[in-house]
Amino acid sequence: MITNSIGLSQYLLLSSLIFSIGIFGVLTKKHIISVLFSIELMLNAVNINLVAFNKFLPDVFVAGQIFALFIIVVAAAEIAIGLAISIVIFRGKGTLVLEDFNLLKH
Amino acid sequence: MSLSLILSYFEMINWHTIAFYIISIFLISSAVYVVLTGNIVRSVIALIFTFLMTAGIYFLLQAEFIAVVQMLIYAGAISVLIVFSVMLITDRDKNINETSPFSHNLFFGSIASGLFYLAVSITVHNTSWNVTLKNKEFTDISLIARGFLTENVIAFELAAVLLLVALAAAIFIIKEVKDDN
Repeated sequence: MITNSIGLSQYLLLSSLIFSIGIFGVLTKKHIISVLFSIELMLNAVNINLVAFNKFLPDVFVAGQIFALFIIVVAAAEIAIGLAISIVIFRGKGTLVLEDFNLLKH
Repeated sequence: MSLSLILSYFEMINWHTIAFYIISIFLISSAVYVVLTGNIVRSVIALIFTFLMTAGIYFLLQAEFIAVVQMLIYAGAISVLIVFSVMLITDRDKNINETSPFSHNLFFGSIASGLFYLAVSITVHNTSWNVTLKNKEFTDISLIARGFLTENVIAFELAAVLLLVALAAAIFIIKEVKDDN
């Protein structure tokens, strides 16, 4: 029988686990599309964090949900710009591997 | 008699806890699959599933409006955008499914993310949060609208301008290179 209720700590641990999975993906993935997916995972983790604080902290009414909506807006803009840039680089260089992106080095 | 016993047993189970653990298991496993798989199409599908499970977490947190927005924008719009761009890219890049998904710094990345999770979990365990549970049936959406249009009105308008600029810039970037060809 499960009697312990889920508190703020469990939600924070869940979101930090998702965030660290996103960090692992950003640092280790090879293609730029996969790095964008990992950034989306990290933004989702931050949103879980904000909504959990909005529920459990006393002096907050809806500020956490408003910030989560702002982060959703920024994530939509970021994924549009990121995919457009990756498509342009793919047209120019024919590859999406991040180690081949040395346009600014020479 | 036995039926009422079973019903009383069911009433003692905390369904919120069970739902939290089920959704967390699906969320974490699909997020791990997004990162670990080498096939990018399977990664997209697992990412959409991750978005839907995150919406389930928002429903558990009694943030229904955020959950609906998450399902509309993330699982609807952004997923379609990602799927179309992956189709545009994998049509010509034949090797995107076969190449190794990880670069050389796999060891460094796993060490860094593990250290981050360790630090954050130790901090969460050692912090005493000033927690009060708000027993509300649902969040009043008019409170969110009032927050947008009174305290955060400048940020709200700037978010609208940001979306417009980002979408126009995305179209402009792709169209410019097409004209050069």
